[in-house]
Amino acid sequence: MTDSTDLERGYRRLLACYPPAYRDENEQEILGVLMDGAREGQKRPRLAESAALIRSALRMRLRPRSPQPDERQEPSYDRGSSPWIVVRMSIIFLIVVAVGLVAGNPNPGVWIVAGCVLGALIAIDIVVARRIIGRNRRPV
Amino acid sequence: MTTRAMQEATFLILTALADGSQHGYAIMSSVEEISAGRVRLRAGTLYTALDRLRLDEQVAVDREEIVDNRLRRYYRLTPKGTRLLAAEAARLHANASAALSRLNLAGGLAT
Repeated sequence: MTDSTDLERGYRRLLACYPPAYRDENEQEILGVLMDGAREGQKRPRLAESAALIRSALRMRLRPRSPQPDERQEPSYDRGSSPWIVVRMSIIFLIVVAVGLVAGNPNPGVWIVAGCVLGALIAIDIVVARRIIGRNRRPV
Repeated sequence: MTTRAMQEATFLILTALADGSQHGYAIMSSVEEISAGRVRLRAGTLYTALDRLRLDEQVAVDREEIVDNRLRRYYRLTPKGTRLLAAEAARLHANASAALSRLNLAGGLAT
């Protein structure tokens, strides 16, 4: 019971990376899928699962969205936020999550893998952000 | 009509929905089964793809259920999704047939 609660809390922290509007609509559903896929006795989100969630959340925040029927007046970026601010916050969050996930694990291999994954994710995020910013500078 | 090849994850998600609506976890299980265990979708990857497919009107929400106090949303293929999946399947089939045919001609499949 406690394991399940801890795990759910961990997943909720990761899901907090998604844009608020997306989270309002999908958090309960994604949480259900994550909990369905959890192993017996699992206490914390797995590293690969966490990385996929953070990557997905970053894409949702950076991707210009087509207007939905109920958000026709909204700007193309979520809440009009600057992509660079989102990237900076995301990088800090990635570091915090990665440290949190591997903290207390004495196996140095885990640290090396986590460092490589983190570096790769940050590089990908910056490349994606630059591409989007470049596209955004052109007149609409 | 796009001529760009579909990403494998997208192809497998659409294939999972080809014979009826499914919820998120069932889609992940189907994708693993269809790919004989080769492709294991993470939840983050699945929902990024579903968001894109919904925006592109290839997939739509079929219905919602509450199971064990959790929201379970079922997705289905739209006519556009069905058409694009059929076109991609035909393209892959033609490519595979050509490859097998040429390998046979070259004796590459001799057992």
